[in-house]
Amino acid sequence: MKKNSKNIIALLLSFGVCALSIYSLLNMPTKENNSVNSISIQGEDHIELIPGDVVLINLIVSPSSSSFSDFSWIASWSDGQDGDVLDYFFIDFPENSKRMARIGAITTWSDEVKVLVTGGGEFTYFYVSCPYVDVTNISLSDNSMVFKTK
Amino acid sequence: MRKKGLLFVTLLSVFTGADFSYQNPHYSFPGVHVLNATGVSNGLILNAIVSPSDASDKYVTFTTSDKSKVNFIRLDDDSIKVYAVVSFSGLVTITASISSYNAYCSCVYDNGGFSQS
Repeated sequence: MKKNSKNIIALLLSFGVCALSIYSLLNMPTKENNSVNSISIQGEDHIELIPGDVVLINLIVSPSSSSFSDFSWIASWSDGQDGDVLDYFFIDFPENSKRMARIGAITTWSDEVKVLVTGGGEFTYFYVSCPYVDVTNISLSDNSMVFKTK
Repeated sequence: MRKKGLLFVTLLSVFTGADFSYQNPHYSFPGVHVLNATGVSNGLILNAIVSPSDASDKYVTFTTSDKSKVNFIRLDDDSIKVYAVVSFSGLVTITASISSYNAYCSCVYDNGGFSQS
């Protein structure tokens, strides 16, 4: 009788441990959701702008199931020179997620801006330029001759 | 009818290699630009065409050789409306400048011999 009750208690304990294990497994935070294996830029890694241009840059995050979005975007001159690139170039985030950035040129610059994106232990980068384009010619027409599109 | 005309122009473009596009100003008309009456409302619009189209500097400076005869109001970076201030004889030169480039055109006044009130 005593032995039977011990067996029952042991059985109940086993069930309890088993149920706890299954519960823990089901409620364990999925590691993949926040992990990052690699990041890259959608499109060209050299982007040429003209002043006033605004373009959206999307990050491709692998695995696609990853929900990590706290990326850091750091802009600097590609040759490492001093000076604030943000006098010439801007970068902001139109959505809460830092998986997408908006970049634009305020004025032209002669060098390239390097934008380094880091997060989740991974990094990628791309270059942005906005070269000055010289005038090569000017001519005149009047509105009786030209259908102007603006 | 309109489609036939378009087809004709397209075929003509194909056979002659000519560009009949009306979308972009492909040619320059330096004048003589004829002003038929005085006043801004009787003026004509002058467009400066800067090449290349993606040039960084787009602001064109305009000057008139005699603003007591022909003056202008600016419309945008590369366009002005020139008008006769008074009836006049001879030529008035309008200069468009950007960087080290200049373009010139001439304006005359001709209202067909009618006096204007």
